[in-house]
Amino acid sequence: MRTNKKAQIRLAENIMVIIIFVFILVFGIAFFTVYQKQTSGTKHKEREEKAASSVLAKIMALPELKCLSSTGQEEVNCFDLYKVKVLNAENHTQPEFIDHFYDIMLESKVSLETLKSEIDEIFTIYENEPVVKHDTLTKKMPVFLYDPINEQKYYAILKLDYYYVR
Amino acid sequence: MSGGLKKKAQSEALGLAVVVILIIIGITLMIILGSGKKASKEQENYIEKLSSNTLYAMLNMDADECRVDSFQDVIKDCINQNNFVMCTTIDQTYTSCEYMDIVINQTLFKTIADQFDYYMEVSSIAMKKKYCNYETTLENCQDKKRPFKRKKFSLPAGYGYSDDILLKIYLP
Repeated sequence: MRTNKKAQIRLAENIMVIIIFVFILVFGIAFFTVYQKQTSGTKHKEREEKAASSVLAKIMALPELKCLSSTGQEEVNCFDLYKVKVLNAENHTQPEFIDHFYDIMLESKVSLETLKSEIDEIFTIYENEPVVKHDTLTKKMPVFLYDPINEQKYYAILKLDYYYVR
Repeated sequence: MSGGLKKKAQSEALGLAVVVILIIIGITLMIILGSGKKASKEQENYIEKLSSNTLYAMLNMDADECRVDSFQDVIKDCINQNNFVMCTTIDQTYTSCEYMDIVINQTLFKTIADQFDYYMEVSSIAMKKKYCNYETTLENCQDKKRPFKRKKFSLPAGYGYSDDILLKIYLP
């Protein structure tokens, strides 16, 4: 009778150990899955952030947009108003136009917004929106918009809508 | 040791072990999930560049309405309390400080507000002005202490010791 009771206690102990072990195992698996999903999502977003930043940097250095000083040197963070107007007037849906800039701007929309009332306008520089629904990463960067004829410097915001697959 | 006492000791040890395990799991969870919310290096670089470019472009843009070389001169006039500069738009005439408030608020709002909360200080020895987007009126911003711990960018607008003006943008 005494041995039977001892065995019952042992059995209860074993059951408790198994329950705790299973609980930790299930919790561990669930936690690992969620963490892994979160990490891969973060890594993917970081990768896309990097790609968008790279696109933005390339646009900032684009000779088709940059303004030149009187000595012929390229100015930092400065776009030529007339070069911008030329790109704005282009047909952005034309395949030749998209092909020309695709390596630099990929699938994105690039626009420039001025804050001055005289030329209060949004210029579209490039537009290549994917047919399939994508996520969008938006980045903004203030630049000068320089009018070389009237020698005016305007504050403008370069806006990049970068499309990516989640 | 009697059988009953041994059993009690065992179950208490087991309970303690469960509590310890749960605490360890909780701490691990907090550490891992907490670290995930940190801004990535890429995001940090972007914020740094955004704030520096905003200040650089703002300081050097034209301010024709005020008949000065650049917006930098309007800031200097206001912060050093000279009151030499008057700015005339189509419908109204402003003092340098009124014009500065309008332009800085408009510029920061259009550039940063849809991405981050911002807080900006323009200061000299004589005066300090504050701009932020989480208060409904400009007056309320003046009483605010900066909410973000990290200073993001500052630039001396003056070239001499006498009129050195410091512009600082704080972002999350």
